[in-house]
Amino acid sequence: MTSKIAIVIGQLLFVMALAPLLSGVIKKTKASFQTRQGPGFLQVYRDIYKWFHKDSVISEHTSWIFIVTPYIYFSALFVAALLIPTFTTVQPLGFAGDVIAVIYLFALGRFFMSLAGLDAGSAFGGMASSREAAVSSVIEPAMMLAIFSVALVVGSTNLGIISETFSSEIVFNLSHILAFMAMAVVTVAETGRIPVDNPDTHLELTMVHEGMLLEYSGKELALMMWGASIKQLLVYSLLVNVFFPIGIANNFDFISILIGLLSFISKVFFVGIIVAVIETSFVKMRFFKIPDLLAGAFMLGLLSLVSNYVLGR
Amino acid sequence: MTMIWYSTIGLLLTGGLLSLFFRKNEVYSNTAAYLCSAFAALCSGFLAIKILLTNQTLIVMLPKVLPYTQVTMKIDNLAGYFILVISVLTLAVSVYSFGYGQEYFGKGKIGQLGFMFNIFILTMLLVVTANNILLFLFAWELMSLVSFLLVLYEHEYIKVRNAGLVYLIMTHIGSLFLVLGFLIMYQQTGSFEFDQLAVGVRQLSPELKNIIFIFMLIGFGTKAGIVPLHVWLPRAHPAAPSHVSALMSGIMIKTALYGLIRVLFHMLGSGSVWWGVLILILGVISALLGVLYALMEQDLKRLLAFSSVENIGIIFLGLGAAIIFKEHGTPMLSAIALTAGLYHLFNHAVFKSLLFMGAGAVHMATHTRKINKLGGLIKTMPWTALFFLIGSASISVLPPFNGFVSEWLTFQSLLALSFNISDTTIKIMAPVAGSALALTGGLVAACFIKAFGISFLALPRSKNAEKAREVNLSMRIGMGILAGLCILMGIFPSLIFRLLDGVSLSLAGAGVYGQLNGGAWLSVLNIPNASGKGISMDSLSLGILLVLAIPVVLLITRFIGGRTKRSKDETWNCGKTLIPAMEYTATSFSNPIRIIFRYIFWPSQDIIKEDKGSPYFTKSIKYRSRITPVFEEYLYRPINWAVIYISDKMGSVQSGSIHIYLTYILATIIALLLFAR
Amino acid sequence: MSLELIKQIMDILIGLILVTPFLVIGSRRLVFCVKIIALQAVLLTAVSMLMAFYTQEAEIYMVAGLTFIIKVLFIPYLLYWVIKKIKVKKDTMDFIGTKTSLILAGMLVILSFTITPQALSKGDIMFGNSIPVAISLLFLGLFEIITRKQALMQVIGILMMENGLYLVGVGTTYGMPLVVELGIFLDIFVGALIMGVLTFQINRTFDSIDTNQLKNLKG
Repeated sequence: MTSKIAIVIGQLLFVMALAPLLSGVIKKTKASFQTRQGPGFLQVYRDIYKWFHKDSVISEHTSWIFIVTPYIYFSALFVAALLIPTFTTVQPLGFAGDVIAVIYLFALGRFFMSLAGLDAGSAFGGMASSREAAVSSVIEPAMMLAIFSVALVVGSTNLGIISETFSSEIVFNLSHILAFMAMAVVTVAETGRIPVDNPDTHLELTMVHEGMLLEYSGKELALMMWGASIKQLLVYSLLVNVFFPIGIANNFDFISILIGLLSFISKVFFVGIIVAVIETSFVKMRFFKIPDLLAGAFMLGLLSLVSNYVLGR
Repeated sequence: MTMIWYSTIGLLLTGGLLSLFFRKNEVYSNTAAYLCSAFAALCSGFLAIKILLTNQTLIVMLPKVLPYTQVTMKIDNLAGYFILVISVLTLAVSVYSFGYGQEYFGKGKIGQLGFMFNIFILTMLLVVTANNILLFLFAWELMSLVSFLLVLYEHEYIKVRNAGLVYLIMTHIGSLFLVLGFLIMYQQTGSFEFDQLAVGVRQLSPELKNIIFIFMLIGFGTKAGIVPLHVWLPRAHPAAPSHVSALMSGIMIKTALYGLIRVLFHMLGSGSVWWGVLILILGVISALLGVLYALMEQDLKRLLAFSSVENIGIIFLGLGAAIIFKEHGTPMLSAIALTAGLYHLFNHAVFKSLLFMGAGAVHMATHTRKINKLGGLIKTMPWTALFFLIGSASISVLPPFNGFVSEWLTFQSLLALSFNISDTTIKIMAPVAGSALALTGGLVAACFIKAFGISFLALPRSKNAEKAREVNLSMRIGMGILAGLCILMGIFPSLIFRLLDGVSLSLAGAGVYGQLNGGAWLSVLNIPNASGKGISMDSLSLGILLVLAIPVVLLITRFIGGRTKRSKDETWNCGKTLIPAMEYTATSFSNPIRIIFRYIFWPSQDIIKEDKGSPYFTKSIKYRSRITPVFEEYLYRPINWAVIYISDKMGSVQSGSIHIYLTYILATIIALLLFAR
Repeated sequence: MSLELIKQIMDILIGLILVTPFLVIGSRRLVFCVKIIALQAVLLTAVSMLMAFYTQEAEIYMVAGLTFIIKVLFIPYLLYWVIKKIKVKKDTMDFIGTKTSLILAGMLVILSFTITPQALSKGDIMFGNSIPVAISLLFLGLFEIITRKQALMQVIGILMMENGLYLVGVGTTYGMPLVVELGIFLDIFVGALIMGVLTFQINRTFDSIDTNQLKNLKG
């Protein structure tokens, strides 16, 4: 029992602590590709810490929705972090929800964030909410299909079980690769990266995620930004642990946990660096081209299913 | 038990008649009508729970009134479940109506409204308990007619009259197919009684069963509002008074599902796999198109009506999966899929009624249903806003609300379909249907972010919205009951599984309740599969975790950041003061989706610009955008045209000239005489 | 009187009856048509008397008497009254010309002879020939109603049809029971009355008794 509680708390703390570092690494990598020095790896921590200490200014037009949203958003990610395996497949709370629950926990956060975007009444927030709602609704089917095609091989949607099944060896067949590619596209879209969204800009023509946060300040902004980086880490771990969970700790001893931790961190950071490369080498897509990209991801997922059932590999 | 049933019927009749009797005194009339219906709901709800928990069947035989027609009502598990849904809604809606009825005071029709309201509930109860073709069709038609009259309640408006007409025509097309289907069954078995019918129908040839299936699907599908037979629904539901819309959308369209389940599972028994596949496909189409059209709506009640089409589609997904499993001889999985469908049915009834009641409250407070004219209501109507938010979250599949549990089950049914059925087509189709369901979920969330966000948040967009006041206590209690249920059914799904156990046992051959681990409170649903590993989800734990997480997050915030102040200021708006005209509207909110799905909507827009002499000084800009109602334009219009064309041609036979008619008679006589010779 | 003689007289009478519709169809003058229909009724009365004489039944005498009173005296009188009131002498409003009408009427008579069951017309029954003639009357009456526009001519058509029915009754059953006959008389009596008044009303409404104008009532 104690060990279970330890795992739960340990994993939570691990995710919460690691997430800003991942964002920092991505930023640093981007900077080095752009031959800039850029902020240090720890800048994201400093920013979040700074915001936490600031007084906040709330728009007078807003309602209680605006104030509770950061807490609900963060809580939803908090719970999602308990369901997604990171460095270990041992998941004491894994029974409480599967990948569908995770996706809808993300949706819960997004639902309130979009409402908060509308709450202040400014056109920026409204526009961002509207775009977020449109993009996320086309992300979801592609994401589901990609995960389904893996889940159907395993016969379960519980993430711990999926990771455990694939943890012994690297699965390398057509169906798996296609599903992985689909999921990779979805990952970029879900975390709001170029070419879908630009996390570094506040230009009203391009932003989606940032627009909804425009009215936030102080503690609430800190929670939102921290939450965004946690979500990014969680989506990455979904990607790596569903498709390549090799090295993940299946049992609870020191050595396997150490291996699990190391392999997880290296895989996640590898994904982060790839994302940074993509960010520097592509431009943001026109907004109405994004569904085409996700339709492509959807087709990849479908092909994965077909190749699984028809070709058998 | 029989006495409880009689007293339910008696109370409803009394309520209706008292309401008519007191029609001169609107307060008495209103109170009598809804008091009686509320008590009737308590009676029938009690009866239904008792039947569901004890698995017994109640048969009520009315004394013979006419020769050859023994009126029997049978309340088995399935009927009990539907009675429960009807009772829960009736109770909440009745409480709500005490206050909402005042909206119609002074228009002189309170008596009729109360009367028809009670009779409407009565007919729905009769539909789900009828055990005889004649009684069923009688109750069905009566239900249609009473609801038609309720739709026409505000018949001063031409729109309402048109809506009523479309409803009447569509519902009778549906009834036609039902009558045909039942007559085929009667002709083949020679019995009007459902039980004897079921014995005979099971032995029919597959071809005949297929014909019956198609007729029933069209007949009940029209009432349920599946695409493309849904056209009446977004017209009729908004036209009715809101508490009636709550019942129509909440439960009347579900009686069609009752009929379909009764016929498919209880009478036809086994059929073909393609039935399930067809229902699945119809479900996907209805779900997607329903929510897409809902997204384009700017009228709150029409939006909700389209969303009903979508939810019926989701229920169809569960039903279709259940049928496919049943045909493949896997009763346990069939039971899970059926439970998913029936669970979602209850959920939809609860949150859709809640939302319709919320829309009614908004309409009462602001006298408009146009989302673009609302805004800022959360400050003036905090309770209504909270309840509407809970309803929106439930319908948007968010954990830990009830919509999530049933959609989760539906997802799992679809995945199990792919995992356990060996047919390759189904293997690929099922996950695609699942991802369509995911798309639906995302779009529903967008739709209700719009519905709630634009109507209740930010600044009021019209004078009416500014002057809105919170609605009275009875309406708040009515909405509160259902909002509470949304949460309760979300975190304690085992309660519903317990009630549905007997239903799935009798229809699919297996009970779901036994699959729950951890007893009645901790409700982990383990779905068995071939690999032996379970799939589990526990919405109670999810709910507890979510609720626990909030204080934890507060603590973390406090721990890291210490105490900080929070001050108020204007919204940043590029240095200008924010006025309502600058806000995002419902139209602009849904514009990205309109463009993304332009192949479905065929949108068109025109911008009319007026300038003051020079093109550089604009006086006014008018923007109008519309979508093409594809089904109306390209399916119903040609049919309509063809009917009118044929009628015209037939009309020339009907010249009005006596001579021509007599010539017909002469020709007929001669032909008959020659023929008979 | 011998049976043969009765049969011969009957044949002559029936032959005369068959001629009357052609006179009506061929004529345009309303008064003449009314006279013909009265003549037809006289012939029918004669047939009834002959039948009554043959069977020696009091009831048939009464029927014959009633026929005379209603069909020969009352109805023609009523029709005269209407004609006088509406001041129309001629029916010039046919759908089809007289010649064509006559040809078609002839064909209808042939038709009625062909469709009459052989056993009936070939003398197994005493006055078998009356049946095809009666059917002809029915057809020609209906034909009259169809082809004529004037309401009055249609009344005459109806009367002709009724006469046909009467002839069938008399010819085959030696007279229907008196009650039935009385009923029919009452019918025709009221019918003629109503139609007379109706004709009058049509005239008042449309300034014409052209029933084709009733088409204007169609929605």
